[in-house]
Amino acid sequence: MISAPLAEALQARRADFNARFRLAAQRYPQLDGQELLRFIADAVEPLAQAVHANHPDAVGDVVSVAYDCSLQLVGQRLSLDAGRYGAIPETWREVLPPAAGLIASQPARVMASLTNAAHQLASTESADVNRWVRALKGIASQCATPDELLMVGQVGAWQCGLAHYREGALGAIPSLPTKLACTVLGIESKQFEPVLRRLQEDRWFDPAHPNAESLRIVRSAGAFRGFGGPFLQPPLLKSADSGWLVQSADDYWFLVADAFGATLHRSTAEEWRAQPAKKEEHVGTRVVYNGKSLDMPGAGPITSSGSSTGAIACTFAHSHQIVLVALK
Amino acid sequence: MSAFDLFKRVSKAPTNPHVSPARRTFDIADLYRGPVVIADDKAEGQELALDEKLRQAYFWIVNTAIISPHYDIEYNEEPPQEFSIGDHKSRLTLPTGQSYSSFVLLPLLTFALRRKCLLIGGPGRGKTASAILMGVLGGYSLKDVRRSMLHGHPQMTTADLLGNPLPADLINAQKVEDIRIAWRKWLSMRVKIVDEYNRIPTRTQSALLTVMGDNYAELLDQIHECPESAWFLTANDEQGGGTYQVIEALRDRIDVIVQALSFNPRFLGQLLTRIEEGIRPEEAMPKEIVFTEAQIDRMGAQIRAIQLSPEVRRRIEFFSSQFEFCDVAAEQFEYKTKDTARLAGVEWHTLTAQETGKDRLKDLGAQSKNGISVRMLMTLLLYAKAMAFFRGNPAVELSDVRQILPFVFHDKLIPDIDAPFFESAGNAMFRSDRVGWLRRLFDLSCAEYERLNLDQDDAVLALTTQFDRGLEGLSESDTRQQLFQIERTVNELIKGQKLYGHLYDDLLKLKYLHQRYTNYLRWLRAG
Repeated sequence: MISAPLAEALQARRADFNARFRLAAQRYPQLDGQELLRFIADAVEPLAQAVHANHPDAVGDVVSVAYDCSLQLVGQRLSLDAGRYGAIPETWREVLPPAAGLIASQPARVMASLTNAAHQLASTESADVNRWVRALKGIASQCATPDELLMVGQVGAWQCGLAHYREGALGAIPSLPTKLACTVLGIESKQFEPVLRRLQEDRWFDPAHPNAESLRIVRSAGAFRGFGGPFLQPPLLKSADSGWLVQSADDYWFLVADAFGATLHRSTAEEWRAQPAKKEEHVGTRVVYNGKSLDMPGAGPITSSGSSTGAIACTFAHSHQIVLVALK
Repeated sequence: MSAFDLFKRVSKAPTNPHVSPARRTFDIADLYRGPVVIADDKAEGQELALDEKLRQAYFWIVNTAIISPHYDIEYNEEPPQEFSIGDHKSRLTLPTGQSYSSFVLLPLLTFALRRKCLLIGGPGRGKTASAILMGVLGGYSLKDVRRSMLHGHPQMTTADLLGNPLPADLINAQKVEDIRIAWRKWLSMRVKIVDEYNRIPTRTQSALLTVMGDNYAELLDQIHECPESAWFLTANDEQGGGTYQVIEALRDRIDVIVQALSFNPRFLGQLLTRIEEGIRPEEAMPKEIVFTEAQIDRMGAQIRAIQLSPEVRRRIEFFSSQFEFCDVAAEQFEYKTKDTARLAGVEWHTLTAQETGKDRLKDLGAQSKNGISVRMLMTLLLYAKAMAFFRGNPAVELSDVRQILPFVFHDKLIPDIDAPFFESAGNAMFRSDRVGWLRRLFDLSCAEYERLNLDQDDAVLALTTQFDRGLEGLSESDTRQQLFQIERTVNELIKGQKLYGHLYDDLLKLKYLHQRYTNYLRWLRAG
C-alpha cells in the first residue's frame, strides 16, 4: 500500500522516473518492474511517511534518491527479504525512518551509505548485521547530524564484527558527543574515558566482560566451504604484523581479529611465501605461552599457531576453524 | 537531474589495475562504499591520481559518449588469439592486454600534453563531437566550447580569426599602437577547436600559423599572448582536399593525426536509446573527470618525468636513422640526405633511378621520400611518455613507442608508394594504410636492430659512453688511443657493408667524436 505523500512524489516525476527505469534496465538486465514496485511499497513507504511528518518539502527529493537506490538494489537482486541480504530491506524499514530528519538534509549520502554498510555486514560471514540494524534503529533518532549518524554506524559496524575497521572506529569515537558514544558502546557516561583508554590499549578488551582472564579462547574464524565458510581444507597460518596469514588449499587469506570480530581478507601466495615463519606457540593440543598453557581439545593436534596483536591463533588437523586465544 | 544517471557514472574500480606490493590498510570509509552508488550531496574533495583520472575520463568517453569504440591500439600480456579471414588473409587479433581506441586516446593525450591533434574522417563520424568533449573536459561549459569553436569557411578573414580593432579607436587614434583590439574569445581558451581547418583561406591560415606555432596573435601591431593550449583541428580529408590547400608549415605544426573510424551498425540499439531518451553525452560529463588548469599543469610535469630507458631510446634512434640518408644526393658525406635533393629540386624518380647496389627491399629508407625531423622526434618522445603515464607505468615500454609512432608520423613520413616494398605480396594495402605501414616499418626496424645484435654489441655506443665520461684529465696517449679506436671502429663498420641509413648516422657520430678528440689533442699540445 502506497500512502498519499509517496504517491504524489512518484506522480510528480512520473516521466522522469520512467526514463530512469529504462536507463537502469539497460545496465541491469535483471531489473524487475514488479519487484521494484514491491520494494517501493515495502521499504520506501515508511521512509516517505516519516519524512513527510516533519519535512514535507523534502519528500520529493528523498523519494527521488530512494527511487535511484531502489533501481540499483532491485537490479542487483539485493532487495529481497529472503536470503543473505534480507538485512538491506530491513535497514530501509527500521533504520531509515528514525533518521528521516537527517536523510531529508542529505538524502543521497545517508541512504546510500547505510545501504552499503548493511550490504557489507551481510556479506561478512562473522558479522552480526541484525544486531547492527537493531543498534542503529535505537540510536538514529539521537543523532543530531548526518555525520554523527554515519560515525555511529561505523562504530556499530566494528562492534558487530568488522574487526578490520577497529582503528577507524576508535578514531571516530572521540568525535562523537560523549552521551552518544556511551550509548553506542553500551556503557555509562562515567565509564567513558577509562573504557576508551582500555579499548585503545587492548584489542581483546570487551566492555561487556571487563574482567576476563588471560589465556582464554575469545573467538573462532572460518569454516568449511561446504558449510558456507571460506576454507576447502583445514587451514594453516603464520603470524604477521597486524594479524595472520592463512593458507587453505590454493587460497590465501589475511585474518584480522579483536574482541568484537574476526574477518578474513584475500591474500596471495606471494605474500604467504614472503612471510617468514615465526615461533609456534603450541605443544600437541596445548597452547603454551609464558609458562601458562591452555588445552584445546576436540579438533585433533594443533597444526600451526602464531601470536600477533595480543592473541595466539591456532589451526587444527581435524577442523576448518581457526581458534583465537587472548593473551591478556 | 537524476542522481542515478548512467551518463554521469564514472568507474569506481581502478581502470588499469596494477599488482602492487602488499600494503594492507583498512579505511573505515569503505564501510559506506558498495553496490549502491549515488552522486553524493556532499563533495568528497578527495583528489584522484592524475593518471587514474585521465583513464577514468577515457573510459567514460568510450563507455558512454562514443557508441562504437574500435580497439586499434593493441596491447598483449600473453600471445593473442589471431584469426586469418578470407582470400586476403585479413587478420583479426583479440588482444590479451588492455587495449585502446585511438580516436579517443590520442585526443586525450593531446589534451594532457597541450599539443595539437588533427581529427580526420568523413562527415558525421564524431570528429567535432570528440573535440567538444575535450573542451568540456578542460572545464569549459558546453556553451562556451561551442561559441568559441572556429568554423573554417572560404570567406574567413584574419579579423574573423583574431578580432577587430575598436571602431572608435580607428577614428580617434593618432598612432597605430593606440588602436585597441577586441580579441576573439577563443584565443584565451586552453582548449582550442578549429573545425574544418582545410576550408580556411591560405592568407588566414598564415595568421593561424602564428597562433599555433608561436602562441600569440598579432593585429595592427598589437600582440595578444595566448595561454598554453590543447588544439583540436578537424578535416574531412588531411591530404589537402578541402576548399584550400593547407600550407605545409601549418600541417607541420600538427603533432598527431587520428582517423575517425566508421560506425558499427551492431551498436544501432544504443544510438536509438540515445535518440529516444534525448541524451547528449557532452551535456552529462561527470564533474569528477573535469580537469582544472593546475591539474593539467601538474599532469604535464608528471608526463615529462616518465622514464625512457636507453634500450628503448636506442630503438628509436635506430628507426629514425633509416630514412634521411640518400647516397646519391651529394658528394660531401654530411649532405647525403633526401633534404639536400629536395632543396635542389631534384625529381624523386631521378634519385631512385640512380640507386644501385643496395637491396631496396631491405633498405627501410627506400620506403620513404623524406626523413624524420627533430620536431617529429620530440613529439614522438612526448607522446610515448604520455602513453606510459596513461597506462600507469613509470617508464616507456617499446610497445608504447610502437603504438604511438604511426599517429605522430602519419602524414610526416611520406611513403614512396613506388618502392619495391609496396610491390611485395601482401604489402599493397600499406599504400592506403599509413598506420599499418608505419607500425610495420617500426617492426622491421626492430627486427633489423635485433639481427645486428645492437643491444649487446654496439661499438659506437661504447665509444660514446667513453666520451661522455669527459675529456678532463685525459692524457695525450689516451686521446691518441681513443682516436685510433674510432678509426678502427670506422674500418670495422664499413668492412664489406653497403651504406644504409643507420650506418651513415653511426659514421657521422664517429666523425663527431673523432673531431672532439682531435680538438682536445690540439689543445693539449698547445698547452
